[in-house]
Amino acid sequence: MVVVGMALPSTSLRPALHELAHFRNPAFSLPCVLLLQTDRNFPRHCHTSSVVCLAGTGSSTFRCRGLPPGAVEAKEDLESVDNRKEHAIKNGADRLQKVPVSRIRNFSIIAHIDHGKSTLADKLLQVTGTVDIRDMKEQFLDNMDLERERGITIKLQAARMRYVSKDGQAYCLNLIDTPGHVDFSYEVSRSLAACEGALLVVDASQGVEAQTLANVYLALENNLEIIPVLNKIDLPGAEPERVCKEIEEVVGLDCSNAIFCSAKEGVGIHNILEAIVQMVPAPKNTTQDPLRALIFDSYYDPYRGVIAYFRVVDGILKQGDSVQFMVYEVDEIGVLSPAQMPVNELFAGEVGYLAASIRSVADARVGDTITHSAKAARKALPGYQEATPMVFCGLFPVDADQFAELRDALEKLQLNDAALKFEPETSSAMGFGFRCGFLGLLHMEIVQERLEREYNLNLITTAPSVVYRVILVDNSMVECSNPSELPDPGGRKEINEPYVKIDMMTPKDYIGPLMELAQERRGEFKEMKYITENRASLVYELPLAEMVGDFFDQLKSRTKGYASMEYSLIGYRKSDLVKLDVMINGECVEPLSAIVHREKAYSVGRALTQKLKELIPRQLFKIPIQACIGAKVIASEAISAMRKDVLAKCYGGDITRKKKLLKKQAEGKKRMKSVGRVEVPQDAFMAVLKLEKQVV
Amino acid sequence: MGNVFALRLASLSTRCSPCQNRSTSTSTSSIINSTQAPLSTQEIASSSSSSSSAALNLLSSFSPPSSAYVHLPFCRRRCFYCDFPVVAVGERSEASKPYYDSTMLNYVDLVCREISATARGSPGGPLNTIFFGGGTPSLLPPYLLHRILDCLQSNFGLSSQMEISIEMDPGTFNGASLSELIDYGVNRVSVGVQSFNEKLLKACGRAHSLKDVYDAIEIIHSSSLDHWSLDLIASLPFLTPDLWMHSLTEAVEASPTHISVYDLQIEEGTKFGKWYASGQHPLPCEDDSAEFYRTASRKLREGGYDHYEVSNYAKTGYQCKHNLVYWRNLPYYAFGLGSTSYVERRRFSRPRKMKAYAAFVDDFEKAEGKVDFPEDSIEERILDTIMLSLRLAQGLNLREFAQLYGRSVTVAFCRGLQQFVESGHVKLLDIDGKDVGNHECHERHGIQWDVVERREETIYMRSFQTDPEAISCKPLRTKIASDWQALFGQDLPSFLKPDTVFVRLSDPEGFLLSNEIISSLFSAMSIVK
Repeated sequence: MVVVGMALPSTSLRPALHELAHFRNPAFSLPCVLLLQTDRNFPRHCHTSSVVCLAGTGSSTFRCRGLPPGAVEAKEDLESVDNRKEHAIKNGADRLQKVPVSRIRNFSIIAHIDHGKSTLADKLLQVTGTVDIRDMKEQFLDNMDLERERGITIKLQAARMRYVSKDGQAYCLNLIDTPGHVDFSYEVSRSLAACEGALLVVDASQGVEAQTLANVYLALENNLEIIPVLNKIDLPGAEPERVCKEIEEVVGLDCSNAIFCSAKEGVGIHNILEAIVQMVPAPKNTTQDPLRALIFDSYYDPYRGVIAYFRVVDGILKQGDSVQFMVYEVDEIGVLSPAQMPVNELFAGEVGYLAASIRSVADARVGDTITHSAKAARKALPGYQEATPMVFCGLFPVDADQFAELRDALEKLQLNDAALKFEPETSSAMGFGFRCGFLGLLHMEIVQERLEREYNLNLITTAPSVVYRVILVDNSMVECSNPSELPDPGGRKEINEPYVKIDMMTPKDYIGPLMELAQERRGEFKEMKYITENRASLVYELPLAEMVGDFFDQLKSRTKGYASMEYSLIGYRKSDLVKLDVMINGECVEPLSAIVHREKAYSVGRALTQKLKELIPRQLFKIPIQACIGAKVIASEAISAMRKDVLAKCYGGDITRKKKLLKKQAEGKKRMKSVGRVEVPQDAFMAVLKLEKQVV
Repeated sequence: MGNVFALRLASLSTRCSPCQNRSTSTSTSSIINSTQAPLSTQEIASSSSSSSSAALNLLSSFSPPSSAYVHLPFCRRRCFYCDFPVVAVGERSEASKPYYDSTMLNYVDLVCREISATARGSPGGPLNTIFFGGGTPSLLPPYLLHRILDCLQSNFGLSSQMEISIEMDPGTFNGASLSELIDYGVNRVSVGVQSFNEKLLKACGRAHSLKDVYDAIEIIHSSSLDHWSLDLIASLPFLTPDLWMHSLTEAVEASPTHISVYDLQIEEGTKFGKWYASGQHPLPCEDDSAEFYRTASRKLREGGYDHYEVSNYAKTGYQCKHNLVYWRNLPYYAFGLGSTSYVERRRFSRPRKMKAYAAFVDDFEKAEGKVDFPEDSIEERILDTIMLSLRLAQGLNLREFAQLYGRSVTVAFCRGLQQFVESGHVKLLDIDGKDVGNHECHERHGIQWDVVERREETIYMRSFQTDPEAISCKPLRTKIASDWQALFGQDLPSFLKPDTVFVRLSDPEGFLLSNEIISSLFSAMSIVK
């Protein structure tokens, strides 16, 4: 094995050697030879993993450390070292250089959550020299704190890379990273529409999961070329061949060209890049046509106005062009790589961003078409199907003065998150706030957290609800997403609730627990099939309301994390539903009202009052908590009065410690909402979500 | 004494009726006034408000302290609940004597150096109250205590009506050492009894036995001392209602002039903190410990003690002058390991470790007795006033509060009060200290208007016109009512009866929930900026 190193800064030499050690094949007793050449032109951003690739390509075959012998061998073609060096120079540094449309490749990475999508994106950025090693950090494209903390991708991100292929040509690759969680499939569909191809990343040990399927179908809908990639082949439990078979059987995708890789160890990355170049079609060359660019994302920058991310579909967009969503002059256009880098023009097929001092959020909506003012395209692009919120909840500022701030924050977030819907809501208990619609529970949590963190708001979220359709006695229909607005029993004829078809995939050992879970949630069994010998797919139809709570958590915990799920809305069905109200200290607390199935009302009422008793701290007086249907009390509890809260300690006249404690206590009170005379902490309003599984 | 006690209590040095006291306080204050330089006009001009009351406030918290706390950290061993800065020295034996004595001598040297430096940086005095707290101050050989007193005298001067208190633990003193202390001027002793049950004393790691307790009481009774306090801790582990009743009965039987009852606090880092969780066995549950508090309040008041502060009881005329300085937010010096002073509106805590404290004294001397530390803001002083005065039976003087801090602050405070007035946890008192709207009620809530003979106090008194003639005269009451009307206008709180002057926490229910109430008021005040 011959390893070639260049004039590496001494700091990167050590990690380079370390990485090389990974590829030393114990089967060969040949030692690694490290040639150090003094080549001053060697680009600094050519970092350790590039060296690894150089090393790899110099040999005929190498094996990954940690793999059982014979498990998998990553093959790379022999190529001259000099040629590689040339590539390294050109990669990355020249990524703003134009290439003909025929050498543009726009692609996404789609995967089930945790199958290594972000790690693979990181590696692609590194190998192509797009991101300097000094700036590299894990989950590079997930630049929200929240994304890093949770290890998930929430927002799509774009990155332009330059790659010189084996054919000696330089290609411009646009990667659009996408979220993996089912709640964010809307984000996925948007990025897919801006691409011609997709890498389907599947964990080589876990195999096909529910969202793998969902995302593949989205990609197929958009006529994308799909390249199967088997990731994590370095893990001891990896069975890429078996998983290939699984993909062929379940998804119906030809896996003869599937690429085996380990994004973490940097194995197979070049093969992926080559496959993108060879398999993903180039965009249609419509440079001559009038400009049409599709906005796939946008956000608000306080200094530059609205920044739109778009894909040029037809024509050319130049800096200084007058464009219209309305009429704006383009201040700056550029590419995302992944940081914004200004360029002068963008052709059909390219992906970029634009700043035009757009003041109003409404002027640059995701899905809008950008065209030239002078030579407008005749027809707008189809745009996107609007995302339908599935789950609704009330968001109220703890401090009523923050209402205006909350509205501004929601407007700005909406620009960045097209699936978020909101309208003003007033409640006697909570004051002014908003009824907000979300794609799912995770989406709701994320939005709440972003509002609190990025906009410094202090919020109370009410329990999530779905949209009910109520048929009134006069046969007219009203939609109701807020339990407190449910028409009176006298005025309504029936209530219909949304149902979803839910597809769960699980190792066969957990079929029982999952069936039990679905049964508890009023699920109707549809079918069960074995995907492989050991894995089954379970299909149920169940009310969406039963799924928005902790269903997903339950699914994970009852299957030790092995099961995955996917769902889609299938329509409305009539159900025997009642409104359950909660009275605290004799006052009905609207945000705690819930619409529940009549058969479950008693157990939910009991559990809810018990939970509230736990969550609401003792106060100066006794507080009765009751759950009622109409005027009928079906469960009740009481919080006994606080007995004693006295602190005697102030030794030697040191009042500072005591004061600190009192201030802390006062701070806690600020985070509570007064309901009549009772102070209720924020999490109590989500109590219904925290009920024990057996009750709901 | 290694006890948890927050408050160092003493009683009055003379056995005089409130009425006599009033006259002495006036005369003493006029003397003090004449001996001290009057407040410069510049100082008064620096106050933004032209009202005389704001100038008074400037006076009270900016005037030089006339109280001093001295921390003496030595203990034989650390009690299981204690998180005070203490230095455990074991028993004094022939073998340990040299180490024992030199440790204390070195410490007293440090304290005296701190006192001298302080007198250079922030001159003040003469001192009306001195309090030796600990630790176990009674472990200090009397001659060393004498040295500290001498040092205080030469640096600040002592007033003639001086209250000098010292904390003493049973088993650490005898008749001879006590009378030696009395000779040096000590006139108030606070005995850390904690419990009249052998098992409970053991359970909390006290270094003394029950017999030591009775011996100590005997020694005090046979001395010439007539002002002394007995300290108890409520809610110790394994405490039962019967045992508690026994301790209270024995405490009253010992007939001290003052009794402190502290609630056990479980602090992190103590043995109890490691072993026990609040409200869980063997600690009494919340309901039981609330009941212990009520029992103490009832039993001790029946025994002739006024419940004048959350944790303190005293026979008429025997409140602790020193601790009232804390509650009234007046300035005081502090010397020694881990102690906190309030001088020139700066609350400053000294290091809690001996080495760091010694280094502090070195630097402090170099800086000529000045610490570089920010002055408390007006917001902090408002919170201090609320927190401290509501601990007293006398409560918070709402009239003075409004004069000092203005309308919006008072409106916010009254909004915060509303619910507690309605629930009965807060009571309104008229200028007489009687329940508002109930002139027949002669219960005076343990208030003694004139216990602290100091210039500030006198002015403070004058500002709410405690002349008995003036109090009962109708025109004044009418004036108070019209003042409220003028201050609040439309915002006049519905609960505020026309002749309200003081607000206080009710006894025992309001006191029992003092943290909850005060923190609610803090939260209500945060709206005002």
